[in-house]
Amino acid sequence: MKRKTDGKGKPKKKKAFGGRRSKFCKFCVEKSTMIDYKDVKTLSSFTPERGKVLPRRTSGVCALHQRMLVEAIKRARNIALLPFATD
Amino acid sequence: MRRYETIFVASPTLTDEQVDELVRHFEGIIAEQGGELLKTDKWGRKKLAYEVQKFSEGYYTLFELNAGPTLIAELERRFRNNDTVIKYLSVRMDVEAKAAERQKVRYDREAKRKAQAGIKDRSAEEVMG
Repeated sequence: MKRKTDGKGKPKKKKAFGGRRSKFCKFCVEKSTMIDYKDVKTLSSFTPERGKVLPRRTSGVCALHQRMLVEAIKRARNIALLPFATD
Repeated sequence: MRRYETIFVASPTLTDEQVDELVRHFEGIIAEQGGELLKTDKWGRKKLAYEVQKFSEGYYTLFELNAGPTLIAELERRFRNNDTVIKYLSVRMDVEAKAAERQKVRYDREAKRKAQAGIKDRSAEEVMG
């Protein structure tokens, strides 16, 4: 049976981001109005091993939420919920 | 009156009873200085992310309160002078709440605009893949 590729069936998606999955802002999806500094679980997902803040270009977080996130991480560090830097 | 969240870490050398006593002590100070305590949340013994005064653990306690700035200053002064308190942090929550409210308005406006334009919001699952 001949099968024509007439554009029907699975449409081929244009590969953006070099074939990787597109990034999105997790907080925008959840419509977060504030990021809690006590929520270590969420915050630590944005601070990889070394304890630094994950850059926006990697995480895809929008500018507004990145500012809120940084503020929350700094507070959490202050009260020893998150590390400043670890080797 | 302003809304605050004050969190402090007590030394791990204390016993549970001593921590309870310490918490009551600070609750007393808040009441005495005309503050309105809304909630006390004892998190218990937790591991610290880094060493504080050579300790790697501490008892976390969270106060939610309505207070004036002088009470917070006094409370923080007591924290500093108390050897069994190794860390503390006060955050103004009324400012945070205001900012959150503004953000909510922004979301609502955006949702309305999208609804009028007939754009559907992508569902969380769809975005996450």
